[in-house]
Amino acid sequence: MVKYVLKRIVMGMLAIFILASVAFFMIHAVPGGPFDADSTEMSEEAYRNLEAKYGIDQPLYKQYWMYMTNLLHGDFGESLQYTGTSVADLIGRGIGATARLALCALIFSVVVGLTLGISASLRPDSGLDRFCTALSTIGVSLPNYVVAIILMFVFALKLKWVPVTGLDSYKCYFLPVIALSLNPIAHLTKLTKTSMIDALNQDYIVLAKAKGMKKFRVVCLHALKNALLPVVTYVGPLISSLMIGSFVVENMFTIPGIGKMLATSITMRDYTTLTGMVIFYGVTVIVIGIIVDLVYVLIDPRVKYD
Amino acid sequence: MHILEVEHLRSFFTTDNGVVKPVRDVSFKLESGEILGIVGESGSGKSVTMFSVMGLLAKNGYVGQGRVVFEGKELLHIQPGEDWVDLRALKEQKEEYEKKLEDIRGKDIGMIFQDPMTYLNPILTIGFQMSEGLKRYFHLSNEECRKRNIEMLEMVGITNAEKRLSQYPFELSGGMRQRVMIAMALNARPKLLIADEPTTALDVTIQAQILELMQELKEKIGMSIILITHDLGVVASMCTHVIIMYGGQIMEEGSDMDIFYHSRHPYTEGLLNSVTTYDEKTKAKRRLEPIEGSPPDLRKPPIGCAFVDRCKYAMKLCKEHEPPVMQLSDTHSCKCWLCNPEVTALKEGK
Repeated sequence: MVKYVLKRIVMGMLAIFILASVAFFMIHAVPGGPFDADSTEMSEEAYRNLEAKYGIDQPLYKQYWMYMTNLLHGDFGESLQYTGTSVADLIGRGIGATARLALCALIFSVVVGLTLGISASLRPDSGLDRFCTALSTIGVSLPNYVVAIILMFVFALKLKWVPVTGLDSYKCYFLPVIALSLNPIAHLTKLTKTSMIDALNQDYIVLAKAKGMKKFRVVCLHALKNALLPVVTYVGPLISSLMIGSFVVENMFTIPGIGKMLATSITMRDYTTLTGMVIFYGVTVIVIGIIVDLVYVLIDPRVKYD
Repeated sequence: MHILEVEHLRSFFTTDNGVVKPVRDVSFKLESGEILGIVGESGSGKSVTMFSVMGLLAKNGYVGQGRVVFEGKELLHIQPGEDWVDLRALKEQKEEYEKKLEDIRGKDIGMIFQDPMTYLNPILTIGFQMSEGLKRYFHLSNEECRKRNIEMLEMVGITNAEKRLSQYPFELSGGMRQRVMIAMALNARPKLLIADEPTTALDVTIQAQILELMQELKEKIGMSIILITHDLGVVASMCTHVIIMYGGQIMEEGSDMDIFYHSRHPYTEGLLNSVTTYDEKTKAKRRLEPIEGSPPDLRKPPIGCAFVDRCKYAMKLCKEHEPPVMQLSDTHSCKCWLCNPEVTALKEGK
C-alpha cells in the first residue's frame, strides 16, 4: 500500500514536470507579450529594459532552463502583471475565497444529491422520482453562467434578498454556491439513484432484512455503502474542479478567487502566473486522485493495490 | 403445537408481461420440532411461498390473500379480494406486514439462502454481519458478540474462527460462506429455521456436512426447520413431513413414509422416477425417467389441474376441473382426481 502511494507520488511528480513544460511552451507560443498593452506609452528603450529585467529577452530554452531551476527550488517566480508580487503569494491570496466557495458547493451538492438520489431510489415512479429526473436533465443541460444570470436576476436584482456580487457576508455565498452546485447535484442525484437501485436489488439486502434489520439500517448501511463507490469516483474529480474554481462563476459574481486570476493571467500573457497556476492545478488533481484511490480501499475491501 | 400455520396463501408479481401467480392457494401447518421438506422443480413456487411468509418479496411482489399464524399469533390476514385487486391497499398491507416481521425475522425465524456467494454483504466483515442481529435483539457488547460469534463459527465447523471474524466474504470459500450464513441465522437461536436450498450451490461432500450440521443443531437448539429443495435424496434423509409443490400449488402432502412408499400423485411418482436408485437384488442400472414437458406458464395457469399437460394419466376431467384436495389419511393428502373414489369407480366401471 505504502509502496503504491509512493509510486503514485513519483508518477505525479513526473506528470507535473511534463505539465509545467507544456504550459510553459504553449503560453510562450501565443503571440504577444506581457508588456504589450503598456508598450504604446513606453519608449522602445524602456520596453527593452523591462523585458531584460524579467529575462523575457533571453532565448526560450534559456528562459525554460531558468524557470525550471527556480521551480525545483520551490520558486514560482514573480508575477509579470502585478509586479513585485510573487506567484505563490498571488495564489495564496485567491485560494481562500475559492476554497471557501468550493467547500460550501461540495457539501451542498453532496448532501442534496445523495438525499435526492436515495429518496428517489426508494420510491421509483413517485412524484419525487420524477422531480429528480427533471432536475437531473435541467442541471446537466444548463451551463452555470446561465444559472448564475437567472439567480442574480431573480434573487439579487428583483427580490433583493442577497447582494449581487462580492463575498463579504455569508449572504453572498448563496448564489455562487447554488450556481456551482446545480450541475454536480444533477449528476450526483442520477448516479446515486441508479447505484442505489442496483444495490437495493442485491441478494445481501434480502439477507439483511431476513436478519431483522430495520429499513433505515438496510438502506443507509447495507445498500448505501455498496452504492457509494461510483459516487466517490465522481466526487473526486468534482473536488478538484471546484478547487480550481470556476472562472465563469467567479467572474460573474466578482469573487477574487483563483479562477478569475487564471482568466486574467491568460489575457495578460502573465507567463509566470499562468504556469504557476497550471502547476498548482496539476498538484491538486493528482493529490485528490491519490486520496480518492485510498478512499476506495476504505469503502471496498476487495480493492487492492500492489 | 403448531409453530407456523399458513392458510390459503396466494402471491403474485406484477410484471411488464402481465401478472404472474407463483403461489396459488397454499396451506400447511408446521409442527413444532419437525423438519418439513418442500419439494418441487424450479418455478414451482416453493421459494416464493416462504418469501411471502417472511415478507421478503421483491418490490413488485404481493400477497393477495392468506393468513399467516406464527406461534399462535396472527401476523397476516388478507381476505380474498374481488375480481379486481386494489394494489395500493395491498402495498399498504405489505408494508405493515414487513414492519410487524421486523421484530420476528432474525430472532424467532432464521433464514438461510441458496447462494452463499451473493447473499453476504461483500464489503462488511463476517464479524460485523454476524453481530448485527445480536446487537439488535440482545444488546450485547462488542466483546460478548465476539465470543458468541466465535462459539457459533466453531459450532458450524469453521476453523480459525477468530481470524474469520475480521475477514470479508470474498476471502472465504463457498462452503465456508454457507457455514457463515448458517451460523448467522442460528446466532439468535431461532425457533424456526427456513433453509432455501441451502446445499444447491455446494459440492456433495460439503452438502452432506451442512445437512448433518443442520440436523445436529436442530437437536441442540430444538428448533423447527423448513427445508426447501428439489433434491429428494436430501428430503428422504432429513424430513419427517413432506410437501410436493407444482405450479404454485401443493400436489401432495404427507409424512416421509407416505410420500416415498405410498405416493399417490402422478407428479410425485414422476419425481421419484427421475431420481437415481440402485436395485440391490438385480444389480441392474435403471434408466432415469424424465417428466416430459415443462411447468405451466403462471401468467395463465391452467383452469384444471396444474399438472395436466405433463400427466400420463390425464383425463378430460383434469383439464376442465381443478381437483380437490383429498384427505387419504391423518397425515396424507393428495390433490388429484385419481384419488377420488367416485372417479376411480367410474374408470374401473368402463
